Amino acid sequence: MNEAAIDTTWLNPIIRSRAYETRQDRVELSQLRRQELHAFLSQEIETSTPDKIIVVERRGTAILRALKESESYHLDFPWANVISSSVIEQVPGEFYPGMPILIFDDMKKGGSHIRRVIEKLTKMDPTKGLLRGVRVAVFAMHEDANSGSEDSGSGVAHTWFYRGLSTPAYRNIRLSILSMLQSAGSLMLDTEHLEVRVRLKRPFPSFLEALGRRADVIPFHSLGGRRNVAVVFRDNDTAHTFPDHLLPLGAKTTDIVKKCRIIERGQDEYSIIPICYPSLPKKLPEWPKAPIEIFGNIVMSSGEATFYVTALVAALHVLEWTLKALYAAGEGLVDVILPIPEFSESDSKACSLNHLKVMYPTVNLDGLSKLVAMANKKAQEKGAKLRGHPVEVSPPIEVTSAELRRRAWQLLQVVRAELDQRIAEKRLFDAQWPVPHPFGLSAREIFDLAERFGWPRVVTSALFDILIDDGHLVTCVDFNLREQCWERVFEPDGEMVSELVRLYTTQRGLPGGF
Amino acid sequence: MDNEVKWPDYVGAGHVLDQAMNKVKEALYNKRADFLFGSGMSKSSKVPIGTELSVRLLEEFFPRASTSKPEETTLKSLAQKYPLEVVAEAVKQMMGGEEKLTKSVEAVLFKNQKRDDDLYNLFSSICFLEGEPLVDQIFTTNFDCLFEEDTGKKWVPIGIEDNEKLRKTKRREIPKIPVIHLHGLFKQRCIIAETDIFEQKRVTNTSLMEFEHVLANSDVFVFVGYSMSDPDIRAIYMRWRKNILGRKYGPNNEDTAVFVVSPPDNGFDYTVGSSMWGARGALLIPLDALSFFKKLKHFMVYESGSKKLEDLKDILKIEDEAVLGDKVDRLARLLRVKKEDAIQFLFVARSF
Repeated sequence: MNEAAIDTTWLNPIIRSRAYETRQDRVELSQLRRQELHAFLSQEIETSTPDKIIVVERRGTAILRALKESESYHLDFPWANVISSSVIEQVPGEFYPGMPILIFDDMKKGGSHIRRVIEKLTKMDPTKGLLRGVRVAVFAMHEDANSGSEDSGSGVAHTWFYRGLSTPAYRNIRLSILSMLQSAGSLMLDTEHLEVRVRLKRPFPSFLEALGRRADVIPFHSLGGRRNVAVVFRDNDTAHTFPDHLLPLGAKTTDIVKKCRIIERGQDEYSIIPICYPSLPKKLPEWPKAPIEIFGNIVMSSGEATFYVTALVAALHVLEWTLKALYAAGEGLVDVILPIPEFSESDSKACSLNHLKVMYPTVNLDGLSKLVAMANKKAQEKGAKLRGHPVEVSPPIEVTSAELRRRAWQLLQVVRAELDQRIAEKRLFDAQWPVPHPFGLSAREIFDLAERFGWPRVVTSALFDILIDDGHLVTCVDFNLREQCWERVFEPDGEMVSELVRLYTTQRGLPGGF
Repeated sequence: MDNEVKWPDYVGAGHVLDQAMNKVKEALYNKRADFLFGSGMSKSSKVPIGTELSVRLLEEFFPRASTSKPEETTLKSLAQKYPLEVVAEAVKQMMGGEEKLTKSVEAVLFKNQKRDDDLYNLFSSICFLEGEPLVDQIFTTNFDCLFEEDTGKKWVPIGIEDNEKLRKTKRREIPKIPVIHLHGLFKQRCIIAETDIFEQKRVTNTSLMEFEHVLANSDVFVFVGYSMSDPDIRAIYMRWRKNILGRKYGPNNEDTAVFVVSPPDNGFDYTVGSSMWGARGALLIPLDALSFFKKLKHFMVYESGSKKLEDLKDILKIEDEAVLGDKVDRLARLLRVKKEDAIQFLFVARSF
């Protein structure tokens, strides 16, 4: 499956590098990258002995996870001391009690990601005291990237593993990192999501059939060769609604991402990853029953923080729906393995919730584990009652991997074109209009674009997964000024991907109908 | 194509030199090219080299050994009279040991030193032109780690006491490329003075043995900013001179496979230098290090004769390389991308 990674990620390989000629070469490269990343990060941790690592989303986090879970290149650094660049400002300054701090990013070209992290830290401590202990570690630097001090104006030390990379070299290294992550099963969004494991006791098709109870299902393969399933819940299904009191007032639960990802982890073992992002109506929405005891006071500290916590609370329900469908199929289908409640790094290889500390630094993992267990119990009870009841089961949608990847690319093209169109409109009136960050499309907007292709919603949902796993699309949270709500937005991953998509579109045109 | 470094006027058409650049390029692509960096590689970093270093060392010598400090001209005259390792030996004896000499040399070398991002980055970008390294190691006679510090942790400095580390990099247990410092490192032990250079155990030193092995076996060996003034390196080189002279490379057996990159002062210097290096079995490339690597990158990325452009000529059915060059130029301007990307674009465009 790695072959597809090369061909679809950058179309035909941009440079026909000898290093990428055979599948064996690519597997070896993926291993080498893991070894290099391990050597680099271990050395940095040993040198700067950081109290905290700030990982630049998304690949930074995924790399850390891949290394923490690796047997041969295991990185020993507790999740509790890792924080995502997305949530730096959501935690109080006291969270960074000591120094130094290591900011880790895998690639740097324009440097905007790191610049934003440094700006956030400067904003938290305008005296720049916090910055004095900061060191930036970048795995691979493009030849156009500066050496660092310009990013902050305060001389933050930078270090790197590769430097001076030409564009093709930069792309190839990025590609091999993505291959490594996918073969490790480390997803870009891991640290935002709950994860529950199931062990199949019956053949995979029975599993698929069970998942299709009141949901649309599409199986596909990730580039690392792992089996994936996207389970998408329909908006109009009364069996899959959220209790009113549970979410912040005015939270919108239709036209949003409401799905479950199932990913192969081992022989007959799968991770169930529920994903749900309700839109929130105000800058700081009211939440009468905010789960402060689980997430701490940060729940209501900002609209963005509330958004993320709401997403996790909503995901618990999506998890319940998914497990309910499995239990409804009979006791002998799966064994459910709940995440280990105790916070212990030695369990990091098992199914635990430790990784959530990166995105939810103040989360009470014990409390959250109990909620997961409760969702499972409810699913078990409800599922048992449903057994034997006739229900319309959607057959899994079959689309070949090649076709899915072709469509994923087309979707990316139209997303980029739509965003470029918006930039062009803005610049009609203000030629210097700076493109803000984030600047993406909401799930609803992307689903609308995809509808013009005539693709079923569940297929589009799988395309999101493919594009995110391939490092083509990144997700952010943004406040939609027009609709006045917090929502999930999706945009092409940086200028490198954008430029490639634009080049392709210039040459080949947009897909028919656009 | 712009940004192309031209050969100096006194070189003439530069046909042989173009062939040499092609050889380096092809050998790099086959991972069969090796480099030794001398102090000339650090020249643009304001690190004193050759006679200048001798002068600075003599400055260190005299204030301690005599009551009056000699004039600059006297120092220069002395520096020209005695080889560097002999001056270093005198300073070592006067200071009372190798460690003190090393510290003194370090202070002298880094007094006005500034980093040369351009040169080191350029070399690094050539080594990783496709993402994966095109070299297995590089050699240097420099004592500093400026190159490694600038170009990243993928490179690991190997001093004369790092035999085990070198073995680990060779076995890929350490995923890094060794920069083998044949005369040691400041932070460990440096071989500067005459008695150290001719120490018996130097002969069996792993780094030197590795150098000898590579010199004997690589397709192309390039000395950059190196004048072969070190007696130990020269001794090894001269041992292999006959072999180098008789080495066959590719279809043109008459061409040499050892190149020396060094900028002559003028045409006469070039003529003498070419003849001298010719006798040693090497071809003199009359460029400074930065210009050489710029030209090499140009050859690797754009220059006709490369397999990539040849393939593109076939694909596009264009026979005239100037026409292809124009096409690439126009496309690069149109798409506002680098020429390198325009070439890739043409590949992708025609492969569907």
